[in-house]
Amino acid sequence: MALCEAEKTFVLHGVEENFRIDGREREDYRPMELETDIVSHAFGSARLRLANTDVLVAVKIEVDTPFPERPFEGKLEFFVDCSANATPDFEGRGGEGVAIEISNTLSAAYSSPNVFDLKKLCILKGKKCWKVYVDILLLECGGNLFDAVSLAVKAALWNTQVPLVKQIDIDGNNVEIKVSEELYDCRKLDVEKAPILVTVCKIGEHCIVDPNVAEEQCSVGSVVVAVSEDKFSTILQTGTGSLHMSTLVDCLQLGIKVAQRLDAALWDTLTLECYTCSTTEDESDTTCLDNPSGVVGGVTDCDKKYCIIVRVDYKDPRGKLASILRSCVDKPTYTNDVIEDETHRVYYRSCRTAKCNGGSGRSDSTSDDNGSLGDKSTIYCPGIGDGAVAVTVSFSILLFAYAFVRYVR
Amino acid sequence: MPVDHKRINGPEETVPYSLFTKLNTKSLQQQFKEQVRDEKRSDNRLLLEHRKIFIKTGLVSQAKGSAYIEQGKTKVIVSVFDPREIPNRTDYSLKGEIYCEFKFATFSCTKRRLHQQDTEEKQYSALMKQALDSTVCRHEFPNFQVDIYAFVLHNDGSALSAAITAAGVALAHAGVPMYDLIVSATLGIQQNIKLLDPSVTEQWLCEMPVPLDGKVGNQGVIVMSMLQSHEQISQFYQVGNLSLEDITDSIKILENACKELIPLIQKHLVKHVLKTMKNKSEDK
Amino acid sequence: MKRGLFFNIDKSVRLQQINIISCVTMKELRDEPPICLPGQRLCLSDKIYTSGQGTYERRGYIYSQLAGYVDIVERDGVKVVEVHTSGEQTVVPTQGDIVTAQVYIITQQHCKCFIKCVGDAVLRRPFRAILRREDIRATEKDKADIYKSFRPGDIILARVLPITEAHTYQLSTAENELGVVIAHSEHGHPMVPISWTEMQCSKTYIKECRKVAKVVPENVDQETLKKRKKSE
Repeated sequence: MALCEAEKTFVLHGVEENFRIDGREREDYRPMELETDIVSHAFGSARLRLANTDVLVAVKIEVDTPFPERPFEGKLEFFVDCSANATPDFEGRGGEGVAIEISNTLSAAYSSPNVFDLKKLCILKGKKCWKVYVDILLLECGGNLFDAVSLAVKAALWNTQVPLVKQIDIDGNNVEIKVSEELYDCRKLDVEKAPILVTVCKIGEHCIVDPNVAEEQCSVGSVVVAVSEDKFSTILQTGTGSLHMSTLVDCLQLGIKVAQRLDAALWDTLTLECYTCSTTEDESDTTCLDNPSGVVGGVTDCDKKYCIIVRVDYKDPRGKLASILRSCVDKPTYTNDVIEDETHRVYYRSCRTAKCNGGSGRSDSTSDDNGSLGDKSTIYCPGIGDGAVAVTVSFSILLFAYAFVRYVR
Repeated sequence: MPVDHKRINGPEETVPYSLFTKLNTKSLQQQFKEQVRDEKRSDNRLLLEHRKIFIKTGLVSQAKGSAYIEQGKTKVIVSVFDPREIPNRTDYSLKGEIYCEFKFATFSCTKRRLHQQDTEEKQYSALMKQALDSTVCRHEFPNFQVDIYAFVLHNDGSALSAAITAAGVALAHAGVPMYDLIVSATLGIQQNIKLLDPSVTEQWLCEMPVPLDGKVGNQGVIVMSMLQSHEQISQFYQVGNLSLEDITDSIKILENACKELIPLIQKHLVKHVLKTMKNKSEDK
Repeated sequence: MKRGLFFNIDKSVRLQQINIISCVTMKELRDEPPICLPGQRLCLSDKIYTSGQGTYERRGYIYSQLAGYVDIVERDGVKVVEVHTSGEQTVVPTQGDIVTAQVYIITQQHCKCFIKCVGDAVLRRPFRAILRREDIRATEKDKADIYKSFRPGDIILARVLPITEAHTYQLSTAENELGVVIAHSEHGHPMVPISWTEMQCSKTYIKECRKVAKVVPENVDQETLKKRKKSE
């Protein structure tokens, strides 16, 4: 897309007014959709759509020999495939430059052991290790590739299941490893500290995040930061212009701030925290019923899809509690239902956002303070896979991450 | 790993013997302590002391401009060629292009390098291009490409910085219009120890966390290139794990380092101009 | 003229310590022109001084683009600040330049050439250029034939046409002084021009068709050339 001077001025003025061409403010992201586990042949996969940018990431794992100079470490490699479908510019070798830039930046960002520990991929010192191939396919380019790719990579790595090694037989130089035959007997990669890349673009006198294609063209220079927790793992200046020192520091500040928010949003979407506790009528301690957040160890970082409440009440005396269970499951027996038999009334409640099973269980809305469609609300979207759900996470700066997490398994 | 079939390559799986020597059994902590002891480094430099630089221009006679730089033991040759038409391009580009190729000589590092560019060299080429894109007045030669080749003869750390500094000198020598002189410096960080212009071992040790006094902390390497008179940063690259404060401190250190390098380069270029002018007047 | 604004560069003094300083008179400028380096601030850009070749303007000041020496040229009452390199200047053909080119491919519609020299500067790398059939002659353009005008290997003088969106240079020989200068016959012997459309082999005396240039001797200056043109 080529912009004329007038269009560029229009974009620039928008940035100055803090009202960008698509109505966003300078620090806003465009809506995102994230799906995980969508490639059945891969060990882990994710697809991220950030407005018009579409990225598919698949993770493959193979057994390899470690580098002789690093016998304790496994390997991690990034490949970026720029499909000509994304933009005709990628035809032939056109996308090579972009591909190398992205994969190099990702390898640099993941290189520090503080960020991603390759030692955990080692099977047997100097002999066998896991090699993780992260294949990134750009399906559509709508600006801000770095950010989108890094989010998708983190989600795909989070989704990755590493087979469990049961047994290692060493016979001279031959090493045989036996992998657990149980399909779900897998280990997850530790990606909590995995970096998030944020592109901070300088347009005019201001810095913006998540530039679209038009804004990328107006920018003279930008800074790509890879942030892991509160540290930078990589900083790379891109674009053809130079930056003043103070601008660079401003960009870094903005970058780390946004990256942390983005990381938190992604983590919220990927993991599901639920209250897990139970109580019955015989027990005198009713914290689980009245105030589940007060239960010691009552919050679990579930690797499941739903937080649930199962509440059993007596019919007579009406409303007297028999038992209550707060937990998490992959597939609830009933999503939201009330089942009655002769003596009991059983409330089944399930929801998909963090700590949403804190309510009494009686009302339809699982968490009492989550009645309205505001923050952390649950919207059921029929038709997208098996029990798919849209989660809206919003921050003080209106950073939206619409994540449609679909589970195929 | 791409292999050039037109060359005779060494056996695919060879390993430098040094990996098996006793030197290699030392722990990282020990190695680091050997490099930095009592605020002094193994070559008797202070922590924030840059190595001495030697620059010479006009070594490559067939190139339009060239520069050779020695920074401690690091030796780099950079040559700049006349603008030529951008190959494989049909559309009109308003601004000229810069093509950079960064290459380590096969014998320049402890481990043998291949003839073809590997990913590290490609990354360095991209960083060099990034540094020079904003330095050269590209509107002065629309539709043309200036080729810059950097060849590292000996890598003793900070090779990219040396190459960028030399490229700036070579461009000035070639008479390519530039907005400013460019200088570049590298900083290695390991916890609270900052090492300016690290040697190859120091750079390697800063690329990974080394436990010092029982704790592991911030570490990283920063390469920064500056346009001095406009106070602009044309290239910034960091790897490792650093906090914002570390980086802002580092930027200041690198800025001062660049400021100290500039007079050297200016002096050299003035000498060069005087010499060529003298030669010219003698020719007349 | 005491309004000096240039850096007077002492050869041994560190350049950085010098600010906008010492006065340089025009006479000093002629005798010992100040040396400057890329990015060096030369002077204020105002009504008197404007930025010329080898310099650029930023925030009201004129800066140098090259490592070389400063020169001031007065044009229409404005002093143009220029910087020239001490070494060879990078020469690139521009619109209107007379270039020396070698023909290497001919087709019905156009011939392709390599530009070897621009004016009297020899290029280190040749540039590709194209000469279309309709640009061979000034008159009766449609009657011109490529193969009757040029052959591969001919050395021609041509003028660079305005640069268009197309990627290669376009040349024109539609002037009396432009066209083939050096040519060899089919047998490889040098040829001499006998008319403005024909050349003759110096060995075999075979005549071949060419668009011959009327070569102007170097010592003829423009004035006499104009006079001669008028008299013709």
